[in-house]
Amino acid sequence: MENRVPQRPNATWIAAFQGRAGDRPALAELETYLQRVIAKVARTFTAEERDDLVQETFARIVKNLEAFRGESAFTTWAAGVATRVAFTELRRRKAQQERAGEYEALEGELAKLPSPSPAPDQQLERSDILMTLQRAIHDELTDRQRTAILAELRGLPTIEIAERMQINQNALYKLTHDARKKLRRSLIEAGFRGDSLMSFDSEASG
Amino acid sequence: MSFSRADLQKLLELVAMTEAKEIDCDEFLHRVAGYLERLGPEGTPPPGYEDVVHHLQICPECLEEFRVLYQALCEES
Repeated sequence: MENRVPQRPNATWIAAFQGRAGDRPALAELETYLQRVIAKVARTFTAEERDDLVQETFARIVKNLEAFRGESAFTTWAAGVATRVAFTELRRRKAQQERAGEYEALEGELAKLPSPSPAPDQQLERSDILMTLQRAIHDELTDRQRTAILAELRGLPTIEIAERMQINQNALYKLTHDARKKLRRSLIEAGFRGDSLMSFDSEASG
Repeated sequence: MSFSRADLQKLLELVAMTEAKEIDCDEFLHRVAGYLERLGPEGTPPPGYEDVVHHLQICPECLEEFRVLYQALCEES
């Protein structure tokens, strides 16, 4: 099968993106390659949209060039960036078209939290660990952490959640990671150690 | 409370997998190309990329991107 991935040493790509070498043919080849990668994310992108997404990918590459550490071929890394750019656009559209209002609905739900120690849901009575988790969500997490966690659990795109919270996606990841760590600690302190907590056993201090 | 039983069960799985140090989605993006190029036969994860494997378990969006990228690279090579 014909190898269609543009072949250049990594240093050549880096020089091209740093503007040190005006290697237009190489960049044009990469452009065509990334358009094909983007088309695999969604066939619904038009040719014009794919062009725009490639330009956005190029801008991201320039901005993040220092993050490329040579662990792979430059083209593989660039394909990853293009995939991220295309999925971000796709998720943004879905959020606008199909999931409009869901974030506000979740915020509304959480605003109605009844009391600091809610009576256990009858369905949960048999499950101590879920009750403890529920209590920890209420007692240990901030409003923003609760909202972010619930929105992610319900499948809202992180781009949408981050924009609503006016933070970037890395800050959102940190927010939910901190929340998971707090919940994990609460469960361990409550004495849960079994299969349901798997890796918690060895790292109780988290 | 607004967390349903299904929400709590899903969250419990995530909490169980939570590690003190995790890479975020940006760091994942910068590491995944190296991971993909070193994948062993039948998708055996390469050593030194445990953080990438863990992120794939925790983050459904990065997993979705990974699958498409993997497929794209297979088709292009």
